[in-house]
Amino acid sequence: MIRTRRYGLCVSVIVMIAVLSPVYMMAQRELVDSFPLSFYPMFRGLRPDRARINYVTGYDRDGVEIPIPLEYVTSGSMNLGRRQINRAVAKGAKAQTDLCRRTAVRLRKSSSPTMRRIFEVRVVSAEFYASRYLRGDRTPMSSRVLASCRVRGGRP
Amino acid sequence: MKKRLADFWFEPAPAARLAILRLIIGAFAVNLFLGNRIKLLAPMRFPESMFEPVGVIRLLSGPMPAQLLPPLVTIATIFAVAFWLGLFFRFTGPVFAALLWWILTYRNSWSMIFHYENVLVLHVLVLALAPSADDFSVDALRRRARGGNAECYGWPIKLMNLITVGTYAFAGFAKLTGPTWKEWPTGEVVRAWIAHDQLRKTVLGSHSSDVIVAIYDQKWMFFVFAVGTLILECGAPIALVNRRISRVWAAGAFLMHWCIYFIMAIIFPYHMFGFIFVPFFRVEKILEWRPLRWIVGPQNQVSD
Repeated sequence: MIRTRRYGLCVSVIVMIAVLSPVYMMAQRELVDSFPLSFYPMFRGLRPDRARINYVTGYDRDGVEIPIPLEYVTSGSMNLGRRQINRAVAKGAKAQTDLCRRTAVRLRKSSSPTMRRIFEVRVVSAEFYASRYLRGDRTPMSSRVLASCRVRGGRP
Repeated sequence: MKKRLADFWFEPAPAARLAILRLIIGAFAVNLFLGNRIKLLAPMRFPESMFEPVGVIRLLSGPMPAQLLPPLVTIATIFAVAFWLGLFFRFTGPVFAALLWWILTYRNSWSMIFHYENVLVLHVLVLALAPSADDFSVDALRRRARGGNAECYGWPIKLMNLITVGTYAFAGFAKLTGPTWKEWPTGEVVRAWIAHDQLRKTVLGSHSSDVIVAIYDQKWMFFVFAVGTLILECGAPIALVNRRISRVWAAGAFLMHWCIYFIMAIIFPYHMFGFIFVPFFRVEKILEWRPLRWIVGPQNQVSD
């Protein structure tokens, strides 16, 4: 049966309809992406130059900023980590402090000399211009510290 | 017309071509399970609130019990090896395709869809539903019979290529049917897109590329990149017309993914290492390579 032309035609037609089904998804009022059939909604929008980013960063005893790699902050990919941070920020003070403390605990266990220099962890919400940032001006337009906590054992 | 279309679609092909595609794509799938077990099990660590079911996972009312995932991934790994070896393929092939579909869709149901896995799932599905273990498989060894040159080995390859060009075409049409369709060909949208991505990655402390910093003010580069991408994506269906065009297109698309990697540090393993493009080639020709000729023996040479 699997070697007949009729079988080949049936499988081909079904798969072709499935492959073309994202056309139907695109026609829907509410655009919802799917897997493994997609209409690639991320390509349809414009990414603004001005962006608010919630992130977790570190400071040494002298107040010098030390960026914290995402794996110390959340689990999973960059997008998943970003969403976990955003969710904590949206939930309010307690969730922000929890995120800060969890990061501090992970930093305490780190064997990296750079990470061990971190004395204070801050959860920050800041606005940047992507164009300025890429040209070297890394100062946020505005920024707000939402939570901060100390990393015990942080070295001066 | 109908006859010409049928002759095109059911053009005979050697069983070895489809079987070697199973070996190549199957090897990628086996590696996915053996080398990425931690990533596949990652949903166990994610908070339940991050669960956003997509595709077939929408059938679930909530996340699967966490303890179910490790045995499921182990079973899928065993079936992946059976798929690759062509062992009891009529059973293991479709079961593996279903498991791959389920497990990858489940992983993609946690906040982000990894679009680079789309084509892998569909390619494996086509291979699983086709007689791709009629050669170079344990089943063929057991039967002591090998498939020859027949139309049942040609259409699955055409279907895999159709899936490939279809996904590229959709990516292209998405750019030209969205609200920014006018700006896309100028390169401004892609420039803003990459800049935004770089900003987020750097501030959040994720892996990023410094190439974008060096080329950000070279607007002409983004124009070339945007136009090239649109031509490759929207023009993808032309690759189905003939073999020579398909190879040129595959080379262009292959190059595009490496450019994306250097500029955005985004890895598309199935694309960047050429797995997605192998169905465009007469892969059985590798058997003419001297070391392989020695291994498979002269009786195993394939003629088209």
